[in-house]
Amino acid sequence: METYHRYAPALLRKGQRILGNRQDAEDIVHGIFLEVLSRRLTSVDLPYLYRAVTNRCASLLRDRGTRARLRERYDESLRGPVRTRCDDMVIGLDLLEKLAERLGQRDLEILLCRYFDDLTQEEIAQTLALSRKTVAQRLARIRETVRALAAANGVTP
Amino acid sequence: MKLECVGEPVSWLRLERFALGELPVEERSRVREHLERCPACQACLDIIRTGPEPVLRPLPSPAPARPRRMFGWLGAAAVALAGVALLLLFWPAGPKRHDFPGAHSMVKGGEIALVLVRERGGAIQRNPVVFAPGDRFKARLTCPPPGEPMVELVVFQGGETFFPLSRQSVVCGNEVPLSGAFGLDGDAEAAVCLIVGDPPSRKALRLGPPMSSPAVCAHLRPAPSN
Repeated sequence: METYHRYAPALLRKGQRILGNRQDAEDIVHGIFLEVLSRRLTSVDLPYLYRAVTNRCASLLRDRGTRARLRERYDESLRGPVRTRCDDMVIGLDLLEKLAERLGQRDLEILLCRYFDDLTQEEIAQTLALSRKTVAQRLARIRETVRALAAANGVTP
Repeated sequence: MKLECVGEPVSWLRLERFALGELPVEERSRVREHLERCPACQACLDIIRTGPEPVLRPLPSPAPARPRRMFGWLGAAAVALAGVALLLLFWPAGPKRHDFPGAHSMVKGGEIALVLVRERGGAIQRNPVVFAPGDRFKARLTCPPPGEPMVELVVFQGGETFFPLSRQSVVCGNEVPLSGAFGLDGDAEAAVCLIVGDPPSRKALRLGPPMSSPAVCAHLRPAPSN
């Protein structure tokens, strides 16, 4: 399958960046392509597949049943380099799990887009089919939550 | 490893598409200009281009179709006749299960999909297959952006048709929740359908899922009573 060979490495890098483990990232990528095959989707592009990985990673992080496994497999080196802005901080698995408990699915997806994929507000709006204004408002709320939880966990920007 | 970007970092998605040569010309030159003055983003691109290429397991094959059981044609005819008789005896009036589309459907520009989420005593279940009195259901629609179709949620059950939610418009995206929740009761299987696009009148919908508008359906059966 040509699409698989073309896009799977990018998707795997993304999954690893968020989850910090290769096995779960690869399972997610395989799951997505199996669905693409079974639904006979012919015109999937990278932004579409990226969104699917975001969605599945968010669901996995919100599932309490998988927490122990994710922690056990976590390898910080798979997070890769993090480019920071003045108001952002590096989010590790501990903080990410707490955020997954606190945020809804959609807000968690926005957080992953912003903090792990470095998407601009415009790109997030396009990816998640939201207005730019909604993204800005939600991001402001998400940043507050990140700051509050980070402070409680002793993490500084 | 923390790297300081000189401005707004080029997103990983854009870097990946840049490396694949998929960006439009203008965007490509903007990215190239940024990379020339930003070591942080250049380092990320280097990882994509020269980092260890992840060795991927081959994609598992989708589950093979179940082989057909071979009957003698006489036996098959007898089974078919018995089936028809049973259907005539017990099948409720109204649309039959095979009249309903599945939970996914292709439309122009992508696909639409319905996900039901059940809340029962604080426990959440995605895509449940049974219902019981007291359960609350939320419907989520995936549809290709950009788009803001009008949608109607219809429940077909035991020959009757219900409209538990108000007709509403949805801003397309991934698993966008519809406003409102609903419950199911009764002892017949229910088909919960979402009619997307330009739903016909409720009077017309009472006849079954329309052919003219895209629709996605989920099927639930009543929980066995104790």
